[in-house]
Amino acid sequence: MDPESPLIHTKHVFRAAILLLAVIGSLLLGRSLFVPDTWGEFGWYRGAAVAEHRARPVRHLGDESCAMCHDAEFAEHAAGVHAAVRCELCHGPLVLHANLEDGEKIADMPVRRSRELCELCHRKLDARPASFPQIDVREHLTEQGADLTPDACFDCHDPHSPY
Amino acid sequence: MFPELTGFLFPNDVHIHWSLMIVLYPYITGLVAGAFLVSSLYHVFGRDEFKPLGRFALATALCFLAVAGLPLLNHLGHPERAINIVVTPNFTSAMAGFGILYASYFIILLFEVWFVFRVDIIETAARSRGFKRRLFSILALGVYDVSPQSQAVDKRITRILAAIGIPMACLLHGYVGFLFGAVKANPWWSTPLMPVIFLFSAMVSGIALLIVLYQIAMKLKGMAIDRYAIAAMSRWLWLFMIMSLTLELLEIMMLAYERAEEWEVIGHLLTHQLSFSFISLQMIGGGLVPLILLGIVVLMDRYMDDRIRNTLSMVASLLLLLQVLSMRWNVVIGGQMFSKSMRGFREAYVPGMFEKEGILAAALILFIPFVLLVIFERVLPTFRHLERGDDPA
Repeated sequence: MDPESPLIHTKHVFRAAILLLAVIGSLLLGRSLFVPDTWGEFGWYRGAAVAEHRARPVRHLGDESCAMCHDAEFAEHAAGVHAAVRCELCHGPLVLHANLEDGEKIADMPVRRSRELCELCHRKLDARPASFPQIDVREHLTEQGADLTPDACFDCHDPHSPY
Repeated sequence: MFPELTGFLFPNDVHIHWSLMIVLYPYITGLVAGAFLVSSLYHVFGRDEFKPLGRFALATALCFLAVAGLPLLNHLGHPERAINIVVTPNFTSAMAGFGILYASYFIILLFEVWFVFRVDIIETAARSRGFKRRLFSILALGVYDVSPQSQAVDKRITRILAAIGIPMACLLHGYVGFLFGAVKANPWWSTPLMPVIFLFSAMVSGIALLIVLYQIAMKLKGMAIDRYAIAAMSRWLWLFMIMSLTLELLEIMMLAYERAEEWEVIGHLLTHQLSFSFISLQMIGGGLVPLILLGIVVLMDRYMDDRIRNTLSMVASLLLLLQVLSMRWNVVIGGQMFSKSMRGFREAYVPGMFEKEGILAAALILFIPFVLLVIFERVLPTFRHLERGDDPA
């Protein structure tokens, strides 16, 4: 550069400007690498996600599948007030228990026997409809003379068909 | 365990989802915005009383901005997905603004720091040997021009960058307030005043932080605390805290005077659940007391001994730092302690010490910018221009 040129002292500014362009360029390049190919195909999500979700293995099969082996429990449950509560909500997903191809048992079915599980629906809350059965757990257990153990509910109530 | 509930709560009003981390995020961005303003008062508006602090304030803003995103990352269950909002922002959500505002402001701040410290970088490169020399040569972008003409160019560009930076800093922090102000289902948040309140409290916390850090830095370096800088910062701090307190009170007075249905729940919230953090901390301990202390500093400036001025401004600043933190707490946490039914409350939220989003995690995150600042100071001394007695860019 001509030593007399007024631009001679702005060399660093040009370098900084090039650096800025490089930063912006790498941000744009990074974005193009990060944004998946099928992004925005149908909306604000990855188009391929639809097919991927469809291809995911089934884990929950619903109450009727349980009835294939446990018809007595199924009948009792279907006749009780918990009919609308799915089996797999308190037990685990069926895939943990049975081979989905032939229905053979592969392991014991896990079961959640915790007070907190019952409380999810039955804990007293002013916002619930008054007709819905709900309790203050401590009060209720004191009235019944029971201890506040983790599975205290099941000492008196049968979750398949509670009263 | 479930928290204690009183009154009529919807089931989805029971938990505090926006935790201590979401209190910390606007607090840190606020400190950035305030510190940046002080540096801009010198670099853009030529307020010479801030000359001792111009470079230090800029370094402080950069160190705090570098960690501003950390509380959010720690809050997320899947922090690795945080990049999604940056690369594919959905502009129907205000949160989409984050990536653009944060990245642009960060770039502007980095370049401003570079132009301000360019001569120091070159001098360090010239003084050093081996790896350090190579590192600083790269940082200098291979140009070693320290002529007065090139420094004049630096000064002009710094001024332009700082001028662009002011609206950017306001936007970055105003957007945080906007996020809360735009939640129309929550009457404690939903007010157009919210971004403005956030902005003014940001200025308060940033200036207060600089008063504290500047005095500590001068003590550690054995240098004299500049009386004009402290007096000027106290004046600005007093102005901004008056504005900030006025706006905070105005919002509540409007709600209290209108006596619409939300006042039932907000009035109770302020006098019961938030009585300590709102009345004692935000309004009295962190509001009224520093108002009086700074009033003394500003109004009796000419009669004041330097040590008394320094002590009063230091105490007022520490209280104001606490005030702004409690204001963030009252907004973020307070807004989640009552039900959208306007008829019920959950018990006060107490973060655990060792929780993922607990007190220790918050303290660690808040500690990092100070470490960064110490490292910055080691690498590029921010007060060197005072020792040399020259005019910084």
